[in-house]
Amino acid sequence: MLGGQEYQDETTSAFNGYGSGLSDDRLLLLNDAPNKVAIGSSEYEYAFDSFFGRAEYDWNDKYYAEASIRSDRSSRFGADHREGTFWSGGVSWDAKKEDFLKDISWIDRLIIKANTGTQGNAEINGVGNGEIQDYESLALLSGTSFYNGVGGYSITQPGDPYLTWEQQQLTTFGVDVSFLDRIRLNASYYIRNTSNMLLSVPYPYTSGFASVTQNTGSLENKGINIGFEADAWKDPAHKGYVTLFVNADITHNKVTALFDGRQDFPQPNYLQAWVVGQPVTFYLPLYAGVNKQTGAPEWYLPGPNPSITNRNPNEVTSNYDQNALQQNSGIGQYAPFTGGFGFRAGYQGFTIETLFNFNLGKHLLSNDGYFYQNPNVFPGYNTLKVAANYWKAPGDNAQFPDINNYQMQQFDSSLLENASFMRLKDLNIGYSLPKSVTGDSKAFKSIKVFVEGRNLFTVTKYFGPDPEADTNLVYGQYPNTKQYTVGVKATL
Amino acid sequence: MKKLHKYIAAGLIIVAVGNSCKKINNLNPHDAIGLNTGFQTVQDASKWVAGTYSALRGNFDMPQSVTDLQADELNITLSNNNANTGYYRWGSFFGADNPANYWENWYAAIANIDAAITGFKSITTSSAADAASLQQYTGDLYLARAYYFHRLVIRYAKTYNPGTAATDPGVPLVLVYDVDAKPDRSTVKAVYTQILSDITTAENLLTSVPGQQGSSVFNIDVATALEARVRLDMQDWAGAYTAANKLISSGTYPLITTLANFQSYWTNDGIQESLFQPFTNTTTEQPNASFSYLGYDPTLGANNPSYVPTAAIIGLYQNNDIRKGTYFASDAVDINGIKGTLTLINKYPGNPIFYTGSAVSSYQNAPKPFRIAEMYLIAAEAAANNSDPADALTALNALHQARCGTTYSGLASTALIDTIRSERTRELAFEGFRLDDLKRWGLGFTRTDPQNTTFLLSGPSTVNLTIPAGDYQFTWALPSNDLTLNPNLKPQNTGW
Repeated sequence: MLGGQEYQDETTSAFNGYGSGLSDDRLLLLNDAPNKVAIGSSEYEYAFDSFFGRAEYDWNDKYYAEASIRSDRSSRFGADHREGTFWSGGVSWDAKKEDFLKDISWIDRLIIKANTGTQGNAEINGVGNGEIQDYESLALLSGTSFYNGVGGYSITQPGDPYLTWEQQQLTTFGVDVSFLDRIRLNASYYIRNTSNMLLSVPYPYTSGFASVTQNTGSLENKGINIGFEADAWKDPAHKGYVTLFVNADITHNKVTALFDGRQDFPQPNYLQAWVVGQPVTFYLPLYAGVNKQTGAPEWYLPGPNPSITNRNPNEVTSNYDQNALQQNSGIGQYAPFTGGFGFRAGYQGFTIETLFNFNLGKHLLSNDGYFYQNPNVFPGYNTLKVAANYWKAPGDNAQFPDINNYQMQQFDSSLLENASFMRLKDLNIGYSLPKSVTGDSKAFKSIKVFVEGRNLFTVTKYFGPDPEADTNLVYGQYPNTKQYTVGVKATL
Repeated sequence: MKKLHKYIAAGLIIVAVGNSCKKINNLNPHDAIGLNTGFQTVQDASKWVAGTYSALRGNFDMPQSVTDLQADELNITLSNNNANTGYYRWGSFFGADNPANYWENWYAAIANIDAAITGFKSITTSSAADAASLQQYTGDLYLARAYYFHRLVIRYAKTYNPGTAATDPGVPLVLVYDVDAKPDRSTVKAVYTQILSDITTAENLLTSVPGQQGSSVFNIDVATALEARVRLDMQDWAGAYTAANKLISSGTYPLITTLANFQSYWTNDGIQESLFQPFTNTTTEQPNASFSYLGYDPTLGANNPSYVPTAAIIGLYQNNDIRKGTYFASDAVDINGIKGTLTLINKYPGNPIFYTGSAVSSYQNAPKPFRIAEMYLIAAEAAANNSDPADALTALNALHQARCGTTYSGLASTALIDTIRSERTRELAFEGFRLDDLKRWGLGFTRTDPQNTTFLLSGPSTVNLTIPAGDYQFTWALPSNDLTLNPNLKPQNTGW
């Protein structure tokens, strides 16, 4: 049993001075900067006050139970909504300790677990800057819009007095098993429900604001997490081993509620939509190809409910209108199936380790294509060779429309690419010097020399520089670099 | 002794808890104040008004008006990388959300004004001087709101047509600060009625604030100028003429008649013809830079402009017109490595005070959103439409005489109207009026006679673009953001 109180009080103060044009290495004070000497300062505060209790119970080292409860208050929320109460409970069973398993030698370990609990989140991400905001519940005005020397007021945020804790409930069922002294498996099924999400909710511009931070929407994540290892070969006498491993995460996310009770929200100009009951999907005009006879580009007309994909070849148009044509592509940004695999092996001080990562079902929208496949809109830009495949005469089966009469590339589903990939993330070959070499030296406990390569090769159909980019829209993305390292690791 | 320790420990916990409660409930930011504390004194009111003017200074977009790109007087060069080409090319190139930022900025300004108008009513004054100040500040707010709604209704709704204005969808009239409101479209007539009501309120509150050249605050003359502009839109010819003529006959703002003075007016931000010129300084309150009309690049030793005038607009000026020598300059260009000489727009060459210490202009000039010349043109156009050719010719000739040293005679009916329109086109070129004028006049255009296509963006709908009268894109689309989030906002403008 444990009970306690916790209080957190944080103040961040900063000031800065800036000057440019210093021309003498010996005179480097701000006073010496001839131009643009600017000063600034900032101060932010927040406080948390929490009470918590926790109880654990253990019966015969076989059955374990634990429960906890806590009450948190945060200065970041509305005056009457600062408090949140969160709890958790879990049980586990160490089955190996039961009499009926104790003597079964091929089972080394068998633990079955179940947990559920809630957690609060008070981190409010600022729009644009990604910094944690401390005062979003307040309606505020600042005085920095100067006019004739007077610091003019303007409303900087409308505030939301009802702002309160975001809550997450996570429930997991897991099993941890190892047998034959060679095979280890850790598997769990989880359900994560996030509700009262702290989001910047879009507002009509007529309100005076593009968004207001509010508690809104719910998201559900369900999935299976598996870690598997097998020792294919062991020879302890010679420090020899080969271990294969696989880990995988299969997830399914879906939006379960939206602000204002909406069923869907196509984010204007984001090319994505939140639809209740579905994962976050790309929402954009669906390209139907070039009309062979006229050279005109064609897009599928959305049905009455654009949240339901309509790819009817008899319902197409050549008039591009992003807002009128956008519909659910049914394609999500995030990969539903991710993981890694590889092996570790060693013999007499030599080791080799590999790690392959994979993402299946991932998609990226190529903003690069909009600029580099669009020569009649961006004449000064480099153009990809594929752009030469435009319609020239009736009957042509071309990728791009007639260059003389149509914009070559619009923001549509033709920019959407499958970015599934498998990548050799890490390869490490090493050799640890035997004790007979290091043993004489009192200075080193061990010395290992190694060669390491990262991102050595990638299998993907994705055209852009790097399918691993964690974003929805790719423009001028720097790829992960191939890295080679040769090193010596000495332990003192 | 042990017991005492316990008490001390318990006491410390209580102190800690007590303090923390206080802190949690009383944290306020250091860089902002609560909206509910912003209306206590007349000094607070002055700050709200300063905020309004500061926003206006940024929103007066005459030297960088996208409507000028959309209209027929400019060509985009090869050195322009995609900036605003949608406006220029119309059709499928012009996305519905291209102009959404104007809607957003103007409504954001209105939200602040609405909050201030309501808040000012709770400010109590203790002296006559304070009361007079508060009255003036309130008038400033109403006039600013009228200005924004006028911009909104011109750009996002049909032209005022006396026959159909009562049913044509206008823009939402947001007159009370309410973040959660989901306003519908008021009719064009209701919007114009509100604009006139706000102007009248402003005129009553500003009646004792006299006009003066280059005023950096609103006054009775600025209110009258906006009234003239709005009434001309509404085809209230008599009302527009009366308002414009009142300012002309006041004699406060004499027209400039010499080339040197006119050039100086535009370069050095003179005030003789300005009813209003926002306050600017060289540090924290600099004006926006103009579009890249010149873009002098010292490494090239030549200009690298993004936008150049068509030969057609240059040809509209006589050689003795002081506007020709002021608005244009023939100079060397180096555009994407192609060298030559072009006639460039020199109306916004940049006030040297904003680029002291540098040899290259920063192309910043104080905005001049209300000039007396526009009042002569409003008076002429209103009188001509009101079957009063004599007064029309008087106003037209006063301006033409000042600029060219000559006068027109014997003009009547269509010839008179056409001449007034040409004069307006010449006088107000590149100040953001042209597209609105074409829309108001119900005219289409052909963007004809490029100077030299070697330097220009080519491809479908660039040079020699023809737009028929009444094309739906003369009126911008309502932003999809608002259509998606506000179910009451409908319908979208025709065609979009």
